[in-house]
Amino acid sequence: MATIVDFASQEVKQNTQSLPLALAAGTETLLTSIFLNVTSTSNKIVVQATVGWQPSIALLPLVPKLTFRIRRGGATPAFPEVYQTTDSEFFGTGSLTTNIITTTIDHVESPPQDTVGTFQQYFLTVQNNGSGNITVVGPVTLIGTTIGF
Amino acid sequence: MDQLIDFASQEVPLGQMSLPLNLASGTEILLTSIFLNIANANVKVELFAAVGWQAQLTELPVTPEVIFRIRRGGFTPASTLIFQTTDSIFLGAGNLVPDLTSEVTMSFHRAALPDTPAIAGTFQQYFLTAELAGTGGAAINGPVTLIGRVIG
Amino acid sequence: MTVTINDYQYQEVAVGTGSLPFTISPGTEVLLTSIFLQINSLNNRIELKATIGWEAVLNGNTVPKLLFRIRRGGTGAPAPVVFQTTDSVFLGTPQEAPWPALDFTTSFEHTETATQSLVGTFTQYALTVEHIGQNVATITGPVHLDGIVYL
Repeated sequence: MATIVDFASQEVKQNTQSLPLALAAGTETLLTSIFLNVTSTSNKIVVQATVGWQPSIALLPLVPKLTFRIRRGGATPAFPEVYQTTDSEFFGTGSLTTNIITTTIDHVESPPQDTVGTFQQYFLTVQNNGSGNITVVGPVTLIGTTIGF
Repeated sequence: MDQLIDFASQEVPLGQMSLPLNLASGTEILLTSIFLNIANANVKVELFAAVGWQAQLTELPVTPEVIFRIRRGGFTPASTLIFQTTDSIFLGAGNLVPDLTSEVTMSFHRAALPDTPAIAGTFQQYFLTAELAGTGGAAINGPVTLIGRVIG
Repeated sequence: MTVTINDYQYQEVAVGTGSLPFTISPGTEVLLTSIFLQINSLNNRIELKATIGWEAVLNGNTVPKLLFRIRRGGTGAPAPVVFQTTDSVFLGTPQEAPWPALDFTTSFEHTETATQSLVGTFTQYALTVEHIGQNVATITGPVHLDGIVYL
C-alpha cells in the first residue's frame, strides 16, 4: 500500500500577480515553486504542471517554442534540472489572430540520498527557445506529491 | 475516505534509452509500461502520461498525427484497449522551407474502474504506445512519463 | 507525516459515447461533465485534472480556440469560475484547404484550498468548453475530469 507523504501546490490565475509575463528570448524565467517533504529514497516525487502561453502576432512564419524545466533546489542553471520538455507550434504566414496554447506536463523521480529528511524546493521555469515573442498568460499550476511506500 | 492503494511510474528523459524513437506509419510502438495492483473490482485506476514528440519538417504541407494508447496485458492491437487519444500539428505551407524543428508536448489523464472484474486481486501491466497517423513523419523525443495510481 | 485522500471522484466519457462527438460553434459555453466532491475540512486541498480530445478542420486562415472553464457550484453562469485556460491551434494558410480534420489533446490541472462555505458540503465542479475562435470545432472525446480532496 502506498501513502501520500506530502502534497503541495501553487496556482496563479490569468491576470493576477505577474501575469501576463512577457518572456525575453533565451532567458530561463521562474514561474513558481513548491516545497515537498522527502522522507526516503524509496519515495516517488510526482511533479505536474499546466501553463497557458501565447505567441505574439507576426506576419512572418514562425515556430514559437517554449521549453519547460523543473529544477530542484534553485531556479537557475546552476541547479539540477530534473525534467525538460518543449512545446511549440507552427505559426505562420500572415495570421493576424492571437493564439493561446495550454501545455501540461507530468514528471516523476526517485529522490537522491542527500535530499532525504529535508524539504526540497521544486521550481517550474520556462524559456523562449524559438522564433518570435512569447507571453505567459497563465494560468500557471504546479502540483507536487510525495508518495511513500 | 479513499486510500492510495498502489502507485507506479516510469519516466524516460529526453534523449535517453531508446529515445529519440522514429515512428512508422500504421505500426503501434511500445513507449513504456507499469504494473499496478488491482486490489478489487471497485478501485479507481488512474493513469496519466506526458510525452514529448516532434514532427519532421518537409517542404510539403503535412499534418502528422500521433495516436497514444494505453493497453492492458500487452502492447499489440490484440491486447485490451484501455484509453486512446490523438495529438497533431499542422506543419505549414510548402513554400516555406524553415530549418526549424517543431516539438510538441502532449499529456493526458484518465481514470476508470478496472475494465473487467476478472482482474481483481491481480497485478496488471499497463502499456503506453504510440502510432503515427496522418501525413508526414514524427519521432518520440521524450520525455516519456507514465504514472499510475490505484485509489480505493 | 501522511496526507490522506478524503474523496476521489471522476467522470470519463470515451470517444463516441454519451453525446460525443458534438460540434461547437463560437459563442456558447457547453457543459462537458461534472463531479461532486465532499469537502469536510478547512484544511482540505482540492486537485482537479482534465483531458479533452477535440478536432478542427483546416479551412482557410482559421484559428480554432477553445476556452475551458471549471465552475464550482453549478454547471453554467453565474456559478463562479475557479479555473480557466485556452488552447488553440493555428490552422494554416488559405491556399491549402480543405484538409482532413486534425485531432488535438488538451489537458490541464487545477488546485484550490477549501473555504468555510464549502466545508460540510458536496460541491459540484463542472467542466465546460466555449469556442472563442473561428470556424467550428468538434469535441470528439475522450473527456476526462477527476477530483481529489486531500487532508
